[in-house]
Amino acid sequence: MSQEIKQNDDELLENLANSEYKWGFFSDIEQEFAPKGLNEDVIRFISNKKNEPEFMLKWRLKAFNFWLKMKDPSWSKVKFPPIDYQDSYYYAAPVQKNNPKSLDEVDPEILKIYEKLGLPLNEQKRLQGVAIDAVLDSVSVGTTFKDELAKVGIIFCPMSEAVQTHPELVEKYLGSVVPYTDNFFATLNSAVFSDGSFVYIPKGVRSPMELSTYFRINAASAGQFERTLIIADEDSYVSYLEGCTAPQRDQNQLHAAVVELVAHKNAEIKYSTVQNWYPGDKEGKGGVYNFVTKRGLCEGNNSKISWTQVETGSAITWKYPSCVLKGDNSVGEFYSVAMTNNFQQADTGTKMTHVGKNTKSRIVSKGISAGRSDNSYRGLVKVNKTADNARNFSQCDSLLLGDKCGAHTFPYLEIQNSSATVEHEATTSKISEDIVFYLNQRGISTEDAVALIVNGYAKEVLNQLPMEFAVEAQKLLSISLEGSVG
Amino acid sequence: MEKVNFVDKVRQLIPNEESNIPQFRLDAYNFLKDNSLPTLKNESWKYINLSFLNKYDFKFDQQFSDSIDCDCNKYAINGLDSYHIYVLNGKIDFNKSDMPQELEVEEIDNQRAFDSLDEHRQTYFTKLNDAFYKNCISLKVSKNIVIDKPIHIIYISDANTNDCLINTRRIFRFENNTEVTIIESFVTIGDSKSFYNGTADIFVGENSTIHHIKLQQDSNSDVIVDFIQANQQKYSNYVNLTFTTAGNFVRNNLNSKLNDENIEAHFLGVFIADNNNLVDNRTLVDHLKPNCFSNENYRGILFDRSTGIFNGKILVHPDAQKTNAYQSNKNILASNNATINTKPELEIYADDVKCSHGATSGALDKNSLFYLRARGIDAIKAESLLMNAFVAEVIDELKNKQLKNYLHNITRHKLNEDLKFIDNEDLINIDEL
Amino acid sequence: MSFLKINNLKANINDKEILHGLNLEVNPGEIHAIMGPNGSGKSTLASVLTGREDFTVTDGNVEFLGKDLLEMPAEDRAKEGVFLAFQYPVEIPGVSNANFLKAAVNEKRKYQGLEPMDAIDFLKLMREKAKLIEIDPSFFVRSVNEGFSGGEKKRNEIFQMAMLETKLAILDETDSGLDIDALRIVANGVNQLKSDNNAFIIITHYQRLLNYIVPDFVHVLSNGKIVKSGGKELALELEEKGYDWIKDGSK
Repeated sequence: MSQEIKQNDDELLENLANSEYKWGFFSDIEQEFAPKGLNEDVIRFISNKKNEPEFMLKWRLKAFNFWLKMKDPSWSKVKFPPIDYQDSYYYAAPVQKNNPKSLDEVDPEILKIYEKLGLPLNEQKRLQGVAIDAVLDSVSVGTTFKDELAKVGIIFCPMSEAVQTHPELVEKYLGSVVPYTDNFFATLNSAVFSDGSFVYIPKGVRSPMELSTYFRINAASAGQFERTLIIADEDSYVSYLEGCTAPQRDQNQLHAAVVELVAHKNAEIKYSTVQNWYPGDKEGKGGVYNFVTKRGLCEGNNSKISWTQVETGSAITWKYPSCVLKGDNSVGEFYSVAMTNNFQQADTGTKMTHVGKNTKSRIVSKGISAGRSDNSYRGLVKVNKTADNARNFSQCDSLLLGDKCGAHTFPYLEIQNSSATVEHEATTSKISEDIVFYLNQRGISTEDAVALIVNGYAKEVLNQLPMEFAVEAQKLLSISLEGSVG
Repeated sequence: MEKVNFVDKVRQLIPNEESNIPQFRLDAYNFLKDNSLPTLKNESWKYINLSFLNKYDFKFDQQFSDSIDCDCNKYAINGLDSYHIYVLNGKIDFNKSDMPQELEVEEIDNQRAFDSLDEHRQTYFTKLNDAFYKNCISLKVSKNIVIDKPIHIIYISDANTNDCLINTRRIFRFENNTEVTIIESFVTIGDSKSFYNGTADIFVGENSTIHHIKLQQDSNSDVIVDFIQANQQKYSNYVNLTFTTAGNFVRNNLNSKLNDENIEAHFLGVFIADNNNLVDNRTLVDHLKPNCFSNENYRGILFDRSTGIFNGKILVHPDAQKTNAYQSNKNILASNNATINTKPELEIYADDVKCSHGATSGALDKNSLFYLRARGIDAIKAESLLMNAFVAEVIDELKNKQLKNYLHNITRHKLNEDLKFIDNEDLINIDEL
Repeated sequence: MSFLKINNLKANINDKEILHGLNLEVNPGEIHAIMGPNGSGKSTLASVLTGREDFTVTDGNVEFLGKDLLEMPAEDRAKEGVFLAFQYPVEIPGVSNANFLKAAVNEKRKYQGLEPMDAIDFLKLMREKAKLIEIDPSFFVRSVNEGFSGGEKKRNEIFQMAMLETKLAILDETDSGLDIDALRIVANGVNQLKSDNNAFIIITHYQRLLNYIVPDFVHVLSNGKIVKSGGKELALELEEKGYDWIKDGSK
């Protein structure tokens, strides 16, 4: 590398580390909390606050008692100081004067938060073609386009509402994909989750618009434990988007969500995430711990579940959106871009479990590491004895920007069927100096060149996102990158 | 006689309070007192249940005589012009062996393993080896020497009267500018169970080229656990082929440290397993310095109820810029009751590198099978041809033609046996065309 | 006894019928060209005749030298003398051309009750045929089709045809993607191998190949059936007018 370019790069790396988190504001709204700490009383408090049916409280308590016997997971490559689970609030909700019946009655201060985030909720300004459920700390503050969706029979509402209005569906499906015993954080979530989104698409219905939840942590030292449940009945289709941000704080915040998807015969669920939790500052102070369990069950024949994620935020990400391919001919997909910078750690990937015949899965993972960050792909492809003619293809690439970061690939392939075809490929490389020079020579700055190359590198994944999100994600990548080249 | 479980048996054999015991042995005794056999929960023993060891009543090294009455010559490789070293129950039989003059051979009582504190050495079986091996077999080739023919070392365990557990330690030192081919075979005589537990330290000096072929093809051998640590100096080239076609339980660890610049390491592997057998290959290419190259190519074919495990790691340290590291593991599941668990890992801390790995598992390619059948070749013969070709791609990375021929032949016999296919076709040796 | 007689052949793949009752008779010494638009079933016919298992025959029969061809597994059809020159010959890494062909030749000899050929005789035969097809003996040691250019792959197919003493050769779009020199070499090979005892079915999309291999009959395949047959002049007509007039005419 020429001296000049080298110097240029150093500057850019410097810039990169200084680039700021633009969603870090804190809103001073009146909030109510559950008592700090975690015990049976806090769980009763939450359940009571939500006016839940008896089965919910029982389920939560079972999870809590199971959780008490569990140990923090220590097997992934991420490192973090032990979390004091008694030093956190498990319920925080904005105080609302009276129960708002519609979005017009929601506290204007709260609506302002979403406006500031570029997601106006009120009728005049709201995004067309996307129905949004806005979740602030522990509760949903409002859902747009609810009535329009109801017309075709789609239920899209906060989880807390679904528990009241559709208890039979909640009881049937909650925990059916991620049981309360599943893992440390999922079990904790089962005990204390306060809200989230609930979606039910009836037989034969294609959702006329994108459904979306926007998560925002606002309160200090509060954990966020939301739970999302999406059920696509036979021959239905839904595309669902999830976005998230948090204020800039020195303390770490815990986000331990659970997402469960169920796709029945011939149904398709497309789940997209643009994750932009506060990643901590350039010294690695603060930031969100994002410990999330996401799993989809392709229950029926010919069903399909597709996960797409763009991960740019969080101090630590620990997340493996997975598919259980139970129905014959079912399809699971995982497309991921994970960008880490500064002291961020990401340990992410997927699990594809092939059970049914002729099941197919596809994994495309693109890691980008900069600064002093560590970025790991961890994935499992499991082909059970029953899964005749199962096929999997995985491509896991890592791009390194700078010489102080790490990129790791840990794929597990466990094959028990001789007719299965499983292929895994991975590469690790840096941005080619030749390409950067070529672009420089055509008058493109190194910073723009890198953004261009990274976007090209991530394209296969970004292409999977719905249009509005793809643009957003592309911007986000460029911001997280700002000028980094090694 | 009542059988004692493996761990307790090991503990009973640990000598009490003797003087003059070197520290590394004492450390090993303590380790074995404090630890049990690794379980499925241990990441590097995932998928493996070792409780079968409790079924056997092993006698350990100390309890064996140094000589075995056997016709050793039959283990030499037909058609391969080589030297031979026969190691009986862990001790060299100098009378039977024929060695090159330039080779310095020694047997050492208490030889500490190099890097005995290395984290990869802190395992139950390496400690078992530390604690109980009798003689360390030390081979040395001084600088600027090229040994003209391969050296074939044949380790013979005696299971004539008892289940035997032999701990063998080897240290191979190849000084600067040497060129040597070492072939190691592991065989058992007698009908009782055998457990071969080995460790090897291999030093590859500057600008040296070492070929190291490990043959595990003796159907009479039951358990093999072998740990190899290579240490390479600059401009050296270490080529290892681990070739496994037999054994109920085979676990190979192969690590190489690339300690300087411009080093090459080639890890090649073939494993063909059948019955209930298990073959586990675990490799680590440790890139410590810039401008090195490593290439790994492992292929497995699994029949019956067998299990194959491959775990290959490429580790690139922050200093190791301009590393080129490649790894490939391909497998054929030839039975619906067989299992393959493969985990190719990349752990990379340097940015200016080119690293890639690939792993595949599946049945034979349908289009290739049809193509062969459309030329009049029976389905079973077509399968045999394709499987042989699959393995040949690894074997053909070697240079020694006689050795390649030999390996092609044992592959062919093994595969035909597993495919229950009688093949009378003589092959054209394309090397001679 | 017929040489080849295809009678009302119907075949499907994944429950989709491709051949809708096809009839064709071929006698020794004849060259038949089968032309037709994409998707008309040309390659399916080749696959069904040679026994690819992806296809299911639902009706009709195929008689070859007095035997029911469809009853036989793929390898036995080959041993009876049916040869398919593949449109996309597969690459088989690690299997040398020499050993692959030796296996094929000796399998056939075994089927015929003959002694297997030893390596020396076999190599002699291979050199002889290579000369005929203008193939360089360096082909022998290379893995089957691995790293071959399109032209080399097709030449290798013709070489195999020569080695296996083919009775009925089916060339599945052997000409596609070949430049004029490669085309000439392939055609030359076919013309060398042509005799009164064998026959060729040449499946092609273009008339070009037929300038070099002159067919006795040209058939147009459309929608899984032969809709028109004629002499070599039909090919020229098709070249000029395209396929639409025939498709329309068949309605």
